[in-house]
Amino acid sequence: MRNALLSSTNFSWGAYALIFAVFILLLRLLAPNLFWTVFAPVFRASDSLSMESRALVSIFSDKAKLASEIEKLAGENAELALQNQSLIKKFESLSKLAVSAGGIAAGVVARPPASPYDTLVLAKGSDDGIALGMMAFAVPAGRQGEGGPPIGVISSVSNNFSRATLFSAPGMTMNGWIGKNNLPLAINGAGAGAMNASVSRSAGITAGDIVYAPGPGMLPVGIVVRVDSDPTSPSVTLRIMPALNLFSVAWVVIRDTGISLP
Amino acid sequence: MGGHSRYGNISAMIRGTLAVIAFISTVLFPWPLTALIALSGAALEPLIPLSIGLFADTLYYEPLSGALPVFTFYGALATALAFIVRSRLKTGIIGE
Repeated sequence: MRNALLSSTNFSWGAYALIFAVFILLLRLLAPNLFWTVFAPVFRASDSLSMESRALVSIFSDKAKLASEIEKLAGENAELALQNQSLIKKFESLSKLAVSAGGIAAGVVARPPASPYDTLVLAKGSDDGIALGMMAFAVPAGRQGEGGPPIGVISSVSNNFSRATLFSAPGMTMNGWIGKNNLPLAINGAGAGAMNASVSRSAGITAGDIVYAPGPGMLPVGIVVRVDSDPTSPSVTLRIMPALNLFSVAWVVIRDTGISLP
Repeated sequence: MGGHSRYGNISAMIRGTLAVIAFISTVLFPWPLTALIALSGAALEPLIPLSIGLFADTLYYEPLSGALPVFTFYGALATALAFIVRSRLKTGIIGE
């Protein structure tokens, strides 16, 4: 009997896997709050596991190589700290123009690259005041409670959990503007944390220009990192990276900015 | 006879382990690694890519980020291909 159950011909792990996946799908559709209650600890455990595994791997690395890497990283860190300070000042001056309404701080339960659609799973839901269409602002490290640049919008909400779709998600389109002349443009998500936009060649947009989203004041969403041009086309394609690394966002602040996506 | 049964048990264990690792990977590891594990598993269990695609979309898919649940779609495609390849191989073996 036991052999019959475990034999390769009668026992299909694939069928069991499919049944399990369908069960999980039904759980999400019929009881979304229970679904996230079950999976939130799993995501949190995966988060802490990845942190610990990084520390474990570093123990086995060559010490001399590590020392040189540390030295190199320390130099880079000092440089980045300076750059970060200037960026923070720039963002603070820009954020003063925005309405300083307090937001809802939410922990990020799952993020890319584990999450393949450029979405964040957040540990706050409708019970905490989160509603569809609210904007998620990244919280820079060490500045918990304060919102940084906007990174996405709330696209689904259950009682205790919600999901934010990042502006970089494929299929996301938002209006914004760029440059000294506040040139309007449509920003499209390109996946993997990147965004694209197309503007006229004569606009004179260069790498380093900041892209803003509409809202109460100026909301910087990203920086142009590359301008791709085709000599036969009157327009250029802007490659935009978010102001913060979306793959390491641990906290976000959710606020209602009163704008909606096109 | 006994050897064949033992081989069957080991094969079932390998297939089970692959399925479990693929599910764990969906939550723990970056999606390219999960895709690789699921595709490797398809050689032994054709339904694994479809199951993993469905599971990944259950966890992460948002209609706002695209009309098509890409992982379920590609998972179904990989499963269909795996079934076709397996049936062809089986026919080839029988024909010999």
